[in-house]
Amino acid sequence: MCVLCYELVPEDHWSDGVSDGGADAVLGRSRYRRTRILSAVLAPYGLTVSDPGTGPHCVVADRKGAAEVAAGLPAVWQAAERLSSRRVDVLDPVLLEALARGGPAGAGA
Amino acid sequence: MTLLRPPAHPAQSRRGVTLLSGFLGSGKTTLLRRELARTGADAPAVILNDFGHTMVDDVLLTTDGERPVVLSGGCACCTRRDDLALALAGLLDSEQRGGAPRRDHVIIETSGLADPGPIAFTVAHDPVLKHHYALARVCVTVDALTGLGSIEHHEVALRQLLAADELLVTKADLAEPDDVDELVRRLHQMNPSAGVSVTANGELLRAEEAVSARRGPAAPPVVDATHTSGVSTLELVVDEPLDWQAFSVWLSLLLHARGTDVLRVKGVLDVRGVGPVAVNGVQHVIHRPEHLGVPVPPGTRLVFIVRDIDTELLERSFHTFLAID
Repeated sequence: MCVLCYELVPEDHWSDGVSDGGADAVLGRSRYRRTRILSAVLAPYGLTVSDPGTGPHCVVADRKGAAEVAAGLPAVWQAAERLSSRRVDVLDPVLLEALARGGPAGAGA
Repeated sequence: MTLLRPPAHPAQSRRGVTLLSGFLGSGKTTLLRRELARTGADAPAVILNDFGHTMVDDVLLTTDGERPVVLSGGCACCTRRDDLALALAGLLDSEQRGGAPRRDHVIIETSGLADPGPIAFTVAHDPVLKHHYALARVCVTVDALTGLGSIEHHEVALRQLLAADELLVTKADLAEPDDVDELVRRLHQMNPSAGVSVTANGELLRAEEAVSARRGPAAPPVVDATHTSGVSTLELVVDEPLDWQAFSVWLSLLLHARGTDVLRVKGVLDVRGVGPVAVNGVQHVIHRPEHLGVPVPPGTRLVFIVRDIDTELLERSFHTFLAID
């Protein structure tokens, strides 16, 4: 836990183990890129992903205003499962169709 | 020449852990005894787990009067995970109290009935141990006479095989050479991400590198290579550097949704802007990716061994995620 802001620090995750030097600008781009990809993946499930820009968190929300703060990829998928009526699956043909149609928002929400 | 060789990066501060696994009676202890005899003064620390309360192996494995740490009465993958963590912590404690020299290499000989996945998880995710130990490799013994039968009839033997970084065929002197050659061929087919060594009485006879490490055209996907229903192997090959964020989102979602059916992930990625990165996972446990400082041929080669997953759909999903703008 951070002693200044009382935020729980998430566990190290393997996906954070690859970087090309760690400059702030590079980290910012990586973070923006990840949020963009997550948005595309969760759009077909009626969910949005946004980055508040502080801490290691992002916010997963549905269209009715329910939202969860998620720190790290595993927490994002857990939040998505709670907020969506459909199971989020990497092999879901609907998801793959939506992603193949292109566009950062998955287009096929 | 050591069969259970120390971790590839001995300079790193964390101690390397080798998991020595293999089905009941497949020759783990014989191999380990020979290994300890070879290493002499540089002998690794040993943690021994067996199924049952009567221990004989700890006596067999005693070196210079120092007995291995023994966990008895259950498999390290289930009932004894806490004990395994305590045993590893105990080794640290002994070092720090000055009672034992620092050992940079620890070998955990698992029970013949243990699934290596959860043991790897214990080493990688314990909040204290993960800062002191790193899983270096999983070595799995396969009996030259009975190994294939065990794999075909016992789920846990198959899981051990698929978790391996190195497969060690034992008792090769007791089997016909043609049968050993056929076994080696089958092992390469079942786990293309593992090297295969042939041994007799704990001595190396020959070693072959993993199929996935061999350069050249990618092998076509092998379906049901194990003769075990639903298990398939897929090698993903990408010539262009890939986007790490797209890949990590894809793999993490795959493991979240289908983690129990992903038995093995191993390969080298050519990551855009970063270079070669080794990825290694046993079931749902992915080790921290390793930046490779040595030159490797360009391109990504990643082997998946999965159960009850449509490999064509998996490959399509992989490429679709990588193409996200």
